[in-house]
Amino acid sequence: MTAFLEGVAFLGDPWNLTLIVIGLLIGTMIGILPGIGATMTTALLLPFTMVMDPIPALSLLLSIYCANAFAGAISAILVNVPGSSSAMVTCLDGYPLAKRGEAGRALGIATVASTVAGIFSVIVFVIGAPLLARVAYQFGPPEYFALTLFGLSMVASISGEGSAKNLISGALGVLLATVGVDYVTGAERFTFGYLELTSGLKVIPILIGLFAITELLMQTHVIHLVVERIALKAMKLPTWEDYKRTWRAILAGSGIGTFIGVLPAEGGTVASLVAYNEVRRWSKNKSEFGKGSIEGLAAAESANNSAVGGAMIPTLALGIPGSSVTAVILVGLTAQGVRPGPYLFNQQPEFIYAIFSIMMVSNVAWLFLGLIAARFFALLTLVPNALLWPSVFFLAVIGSYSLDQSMLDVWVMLAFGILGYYMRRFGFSVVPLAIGIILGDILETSLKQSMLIFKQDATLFFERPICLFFFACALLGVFSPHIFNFINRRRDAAALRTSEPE
Amino acid sequence: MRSRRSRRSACCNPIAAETIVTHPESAGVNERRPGAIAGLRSLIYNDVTAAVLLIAFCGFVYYLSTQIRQVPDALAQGMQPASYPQGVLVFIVAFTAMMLFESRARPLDVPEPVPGLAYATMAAMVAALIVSTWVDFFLGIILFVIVCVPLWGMRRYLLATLYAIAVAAVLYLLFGVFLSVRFPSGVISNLVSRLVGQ
Repeated sequence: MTAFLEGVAFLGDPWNLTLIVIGLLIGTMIGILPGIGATMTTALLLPFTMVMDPIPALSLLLSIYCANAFAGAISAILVNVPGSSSAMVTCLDGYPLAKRGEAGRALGIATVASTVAGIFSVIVFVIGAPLLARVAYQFGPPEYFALTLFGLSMVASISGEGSAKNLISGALGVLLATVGVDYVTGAERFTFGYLELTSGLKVIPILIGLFAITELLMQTHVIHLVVERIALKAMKLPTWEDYKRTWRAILAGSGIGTFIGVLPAEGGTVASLVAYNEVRRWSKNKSEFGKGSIEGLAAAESANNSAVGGAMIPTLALGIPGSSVTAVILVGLTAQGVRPGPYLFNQQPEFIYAIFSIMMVSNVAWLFLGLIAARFFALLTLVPNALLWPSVFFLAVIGSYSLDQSMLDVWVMLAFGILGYYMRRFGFSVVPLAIGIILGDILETSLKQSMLIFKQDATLFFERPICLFFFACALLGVFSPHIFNFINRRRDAAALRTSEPE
Repeated sequence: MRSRRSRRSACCNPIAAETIVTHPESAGVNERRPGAIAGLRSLIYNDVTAAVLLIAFCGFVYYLSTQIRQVPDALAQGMQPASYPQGVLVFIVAFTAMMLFESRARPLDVPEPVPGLAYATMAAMVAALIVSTWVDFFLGIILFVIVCVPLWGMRRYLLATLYAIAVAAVLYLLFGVFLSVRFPSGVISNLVSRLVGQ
């Protein structure tokens, strides 16, 4: 109880509250602008948070994360272009609703669904994370190795052109993490004699390059895209009839989103897709889906917002990122000297309750912000790309430089930005590369410690049940896209056979 | 943005003389041409090329890893410094084989050509960083914004200049003054420092 009160007391500091409001505003603006997502924003602002204490830094970053998840719906509904990738599914029903003059109603449903789901996932976070951390107390280096391998295997199902490409990208990230001095032997690896590389590649400039510069270059392909924008007069709260029709979808979306958010590397995009499909499957109004179904809209929005709280669970309890944004937040926490994992819950429990308070306040505050100011935020969709994207480069350069005041970091940022662009052209996603770099150190450390414990007998991994469980999950993670494809093909073939006329 | 071209054959050979059929959305733009040879882009942007590049990269990195010094067994404790990166390279090669296997059943996705704007933006970024590194930090990025705003479609040079200077000023105040980040000395940085009184 003391820890809970201490955690909530952080909100008594006006500076933390101010940062939450600033984060909500930035997250909303960024969430509305297509192409700029929470991952890029948190990566760009990470250098800025290095001068803050951990709690104020988290106040800013988490409120951006929460607001971004909500705000992507605004441009998805009004412009049919998702403000963030997790709002992709919102376009399917949000935009048709807007086209028939119900933009205010669509936004009202999206806002309420997002808020309810966000609060649900934060409550699950504050209950589930300590429980998971308690389980993680039993983990030794072998279990951490197996868990990290599982986390890396989940990148296989991130969007892209197939699981193998995602795994290659992740493995390249793990390889990049080996640059520097081997901490056990002191031998230099891939430093080419540069002193700056002895401590390894710096993660933050790489993240800025991969998420900001790569996206900037991808935007050159859509610069001439003309979008039709629906004007928004006012947001309308859902009616009682709307609540009756959507409460099941909101509940389902919240549960599915939270669960998928807990899975390493998955995030709001996967959550919203799965929730949408599930709700459509048991809906009595299947024909409305894709044409303006409020159930579909509610399911998608509740799932992508509840994934936020879900993603924080493995990030804080295990030190394994639940999504690309929490991967960036994890880097920030580590740089601040905060060590996510079970020890955090033991030594600094007030930290967890502070995060709970920040996210709860962000969710509730956005409900009011969204209802009052959505109309004005919607005007941001008129900002010309010609002004917006060159500014991103400005911020990326200054952010990369300000970490260690080294121009080398800026050049690394640019190099990875261009690399990321060509990776995407070849169909490789950059998110697995980032996750591989972040988890690479833990993977190597835990492997070496395990081999020490096992006296170089690797078969002893298989005598530990938790390791076996995570290895099995890792195999499932690698092959699940193929398994699901196979099941879907058989289901489609069966459906085709039953629908053919006799 | 990727345009789709469906390939009939399960083989991933990009220059097989098969029919290339475009998707219905682009029908009329590229008709069926029996025996048509895929363009240079489909030679470059296919999984075989990616696999060749990856394996060449792995081979090169493996060679570099052999240059990592060996340590006594007592210090290595069962794993020489080069062993772990070499193990990761093996996995990359295995995943590359998996990628080729997956690509058998997947239609070839040929992306649109890299727009001139992308090349121009990349060149502008490199030039901006060269100026930032060797002339003045802020001058380089201001010039980037001044060049890119018209390049990206807003041909209002005065607005672009004013915008660039305004953004530079805000970010200098935020990082240089508020966060006390020391930017490299240069013509403009020294001038602004004197004006701000630092």
